[in-house]
Amino acid sequence: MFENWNVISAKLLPSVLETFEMVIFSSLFAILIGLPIGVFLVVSDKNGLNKMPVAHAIVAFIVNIGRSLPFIVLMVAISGFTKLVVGSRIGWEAATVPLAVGAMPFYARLAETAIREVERGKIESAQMMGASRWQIITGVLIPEAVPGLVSGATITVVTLVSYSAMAGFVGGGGLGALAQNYGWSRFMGDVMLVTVIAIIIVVQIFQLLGDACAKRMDHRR
Amino acid sequence: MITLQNVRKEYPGSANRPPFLALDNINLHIERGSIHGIVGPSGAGKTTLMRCITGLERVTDGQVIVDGTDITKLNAHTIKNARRSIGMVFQHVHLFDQRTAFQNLVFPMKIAGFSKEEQKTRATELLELVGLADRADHYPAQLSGGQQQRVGIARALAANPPILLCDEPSSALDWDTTRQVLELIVDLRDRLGITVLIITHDLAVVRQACDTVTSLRQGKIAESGKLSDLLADQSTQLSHELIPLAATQIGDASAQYELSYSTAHTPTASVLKVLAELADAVTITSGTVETLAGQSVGRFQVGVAPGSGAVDKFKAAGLSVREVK
Repeated sequence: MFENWNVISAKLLPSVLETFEMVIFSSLFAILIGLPIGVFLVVSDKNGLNKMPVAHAIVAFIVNIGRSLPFIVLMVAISGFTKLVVGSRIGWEAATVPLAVGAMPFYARLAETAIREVERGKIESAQMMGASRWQIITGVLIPEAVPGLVSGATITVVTLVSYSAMAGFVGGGGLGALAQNYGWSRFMGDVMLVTVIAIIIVVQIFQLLGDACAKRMDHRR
Repeated sequence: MITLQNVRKEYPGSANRPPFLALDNINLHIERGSIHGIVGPSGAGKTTLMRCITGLERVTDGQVIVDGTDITKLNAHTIKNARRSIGMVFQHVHLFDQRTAFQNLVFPMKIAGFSKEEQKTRATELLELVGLADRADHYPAQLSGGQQQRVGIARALAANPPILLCDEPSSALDWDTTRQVLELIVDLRDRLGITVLIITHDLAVVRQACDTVTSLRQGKIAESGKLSDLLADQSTQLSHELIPLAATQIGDASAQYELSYSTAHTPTASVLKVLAELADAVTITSGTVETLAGQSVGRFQVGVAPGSGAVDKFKAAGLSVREVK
């Protein structure tokens, strides 16, 4: 059945590792930058701690643009910027840039939703202690939203696995590239099958890890 | 400790909502070291009053003087320091779910700038004070409702405020737990000398814990004063509400009256004497006697046979008489 076993044995492991690298690096950037954007969206809101309606509207608009661009279009559209950052338009390093940029507004919205869930009473009790805005953000809003922030991160990571496979079809690396270069272009059905299974396993690993993390860090019950 | 002068709070209206006067001409003084209850039905302005005292809500007019500072004059920045003189206990506790009981107590101390050692020793002391020393590492979800409220009280007192403000501290608790929480509040007042303000719709809370009480009706003060004075004066609404009479069905044709007295003005002996004298003409259909704030207060519903002249005799004996229709 596996007549292309030599291809699979030589390419599968490096492709899986590349996928992990792409997903982990892009998630890291998406979360590190998306979280502050999410906080800003909550705090600057008309009912927020630091009302800034104009700035809020501008940031929300930019986030919505990011959310509405199909990933594949975004990837091509910002390839100039990608070249500037990593010095190349192809390979897994290059794919990491649009992946991070594409997931940033996605995670920002998820973080915003998680932070909005924090009850008003908790914020007021911190205000009654004389807490500053910064102390409320770092001491109440973010810590109390941790369970939601972690499940949001899991959703983002899993989404990035599928984006990364897509990136593989247009010059990125990882499992997507393996599927494109061998499974699709060279009609190696067995390579395609193994790649699909590998992607499913990678997704399961991230989901299980994320769920375990969320469970550990959720003290609400 | 807390003084309100001519406080008015009006919520502006909008196109489809008329302006709403939530507080109207409130004058109130709460003595240092006392436990003061604010009572009234929902919508009477209790919560608005509380929020005005904390500065979470701005008054439209008047002065709110808390611990010597007029908080209506403070801006968003300077009010932060003034708030540290008030510890706040919320109806729904609002503990931080992602922090243990111990960490919940440390948070306000961190904000108030206590040193690391102070935070640790004081949090331990406070947990002991509220009887939860063995629950330090429990998260709120692992505590019962009463235990959560105890942590809430300890957290409110963490930064050593001279004032404790409790907003409906009992509404989420069963009566037995409420009693324990109130005992704790009285005990803390006795030990620490703090001033306590309790907002509640439950007069049982006032009976158990308060020295002075104010009742609000539609944004105005209806009655206010010492619990003992209000009880002694049988013409006050609060004296009736604090010691309610069980509802009875009026069976026969005789006239029904409600009798009440307080031993502050009327000795029990004269009440018993007049009832004995009228034994043939009077039937008692319901009644209650309670000792509160150093006096016994009694209330009876009686049926009176016509032509017995009982009403005048009751009045002569020092009972207050109200006809029940």
